[in-house]
Amino acid sequence: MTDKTILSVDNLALSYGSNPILKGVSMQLRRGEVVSLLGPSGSGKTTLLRAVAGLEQPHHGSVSIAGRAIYDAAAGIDIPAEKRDLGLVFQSYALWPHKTVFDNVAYPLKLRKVGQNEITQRVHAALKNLGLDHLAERYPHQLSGGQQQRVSIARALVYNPPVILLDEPLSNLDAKMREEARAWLRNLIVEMQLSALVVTHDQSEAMAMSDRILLLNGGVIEQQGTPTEMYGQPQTYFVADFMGSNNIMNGRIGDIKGGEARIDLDNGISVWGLRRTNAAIGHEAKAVIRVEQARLADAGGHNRAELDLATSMFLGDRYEYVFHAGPDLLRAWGKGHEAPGRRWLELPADAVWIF
Amino acid sequence: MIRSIINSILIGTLGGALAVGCYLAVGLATHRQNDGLSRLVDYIVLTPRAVPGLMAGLAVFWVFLFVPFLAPARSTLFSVWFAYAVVWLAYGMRLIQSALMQVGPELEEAGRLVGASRARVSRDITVPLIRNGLLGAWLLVFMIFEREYSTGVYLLSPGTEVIGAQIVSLWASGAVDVVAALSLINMALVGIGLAVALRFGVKLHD
Ligand SMILES: Nc1ncnc2c1ncn2[C@@H]1O[C@H](COP(=O)(O)OP(=O)(O)OP(=O)(O)O)[C@@H](O)[C@H]1O
Ligand SMILES: [Mg+2]
Repeated sequence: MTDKTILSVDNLALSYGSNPILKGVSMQLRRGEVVSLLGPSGSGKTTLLRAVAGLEQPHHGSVSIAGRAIYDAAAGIDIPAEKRDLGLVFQSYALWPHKTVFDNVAYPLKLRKVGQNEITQRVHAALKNLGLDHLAERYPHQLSGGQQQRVSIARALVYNPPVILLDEPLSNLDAKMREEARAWLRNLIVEMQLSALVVTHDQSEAMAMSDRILLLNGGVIEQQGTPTEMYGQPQTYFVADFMGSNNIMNGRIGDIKGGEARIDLDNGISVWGLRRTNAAIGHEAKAVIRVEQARLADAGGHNRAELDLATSMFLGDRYEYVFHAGPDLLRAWGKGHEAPGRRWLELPADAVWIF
Repeated sequence: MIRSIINSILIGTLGGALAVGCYLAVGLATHRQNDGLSRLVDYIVLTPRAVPGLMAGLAVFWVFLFVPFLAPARSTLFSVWFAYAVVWLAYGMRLIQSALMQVGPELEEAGRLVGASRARVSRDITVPLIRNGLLGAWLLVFMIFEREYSTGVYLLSPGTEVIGAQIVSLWASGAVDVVAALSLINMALVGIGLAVALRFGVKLHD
């Protein structure tokens, strides 16, 4: 742990009854960093966030904030949620319906016995910062979803917590707003020099917003790294599958040469790729290639196969070609429309991962 | 006669409010607590309903008879109120608990996160949010306390009689006209209570 670490979770375990949900999660959040907790539904993202916040009861491990232990099973430390001084933005926003926007944001300051004048000034500053100044006297039900989200962020920031936790902050917005909001949120966090832990189940949102990604799977961290590492160098099949749009094919290892291997696929194609498995020759394996890495070619060659192009679909900014290869459907992207027929498809060896 | 009307009004309005306050305190203490004690309390509050009101009234009478420091209160309205509140505890608790269940857990958790203790969250968030539920609970408890008498039979003494008891004893003595008048007054009181509750925002339907 370096002195830049602001939030540190060490080997945290949590169960509901006899059902283990977190099975020893360790992670660090550095000052000024945005880290995403990514993972499929039910992988324990929300549970981890809530355990850090003090809303769920772990039974093993420790959590510390800026060097202060807030939970430590071995030492018997468990600081209650209200004394952890964290900011949490709920997925449902959880604004208090009986308080105005102003009072919602002012409440944390009131609890901290800040003077009335200073409260007014700080709340207005926070609201202004989020473009909500004109809505101060409204009640939450008089706001749009996007405005409610901003109020709940204002409420979580107004008392300057060292770490802010966000649970799927964008999931209640519609698709178009979500893309704008994630840029806006990322910008806000960076500008205010906050340290943020963001839960999301959308991998492109995680890549766009964060400095680092933790991919959670079944209560353990499967892999962590920068968005480029997570996308470009997945260590396991799960990570490769989760992080992008892929062509996935089953087969058997045909040959091994150092870090590369040849896989003989069930659909009849043989390709070379990067070896990410210890499986020996003759054993079952999977080949994974990102859809954007597969491309049309003019003629035969290394890692190329002649396949039936079934259709080209117009997606607006590109075309998607769908090939039939035995039992598999392979997809590739390109610029122009292609008539159906026999075509050469290249799966570049440095873009194929064999797990 | 007049005294019985005043007593009934007192026990219905103030007594009802006080009872709802007590039920609320118990409800909040066990709210979203999942420990053994809270679950035990959930069952214990049901027990007063397991015996007839008359018996429960007798039990309260004995308590006031034999517990020394309570004895002076035996022939006051307090003992009657106490018996009513205990007997209707299970009923009142259900009203309070169903109101508490309506409050989204995240609203309370959000309060904890920004720095409010459990007690502060109850005061500033939970209770204001169930305000209407509390008024509704008061209305129902008021109507029950207003017409209740069997529980208080052993506790009623000169000065603490209530309308219900008066009606029964007058009926036995054949004063049907007075019974009719008292009944009308009782109905009017319930009507006024309802009007007051509606005035303060209790909704009987949407
Ligand atoms: N109160 C609870 N009691 C029992 N099990 C629970 C409880 N809350 C969550 N779980 C279980 O814990 C697991 C992890 O839940 P969690 O909410 O952390 O998932 P998540 O990663 O946030 O998923 P999502 O993306 O759907 O929000 C799930 O299998 C869920 O069924
Ligand atoms: Mg979740």
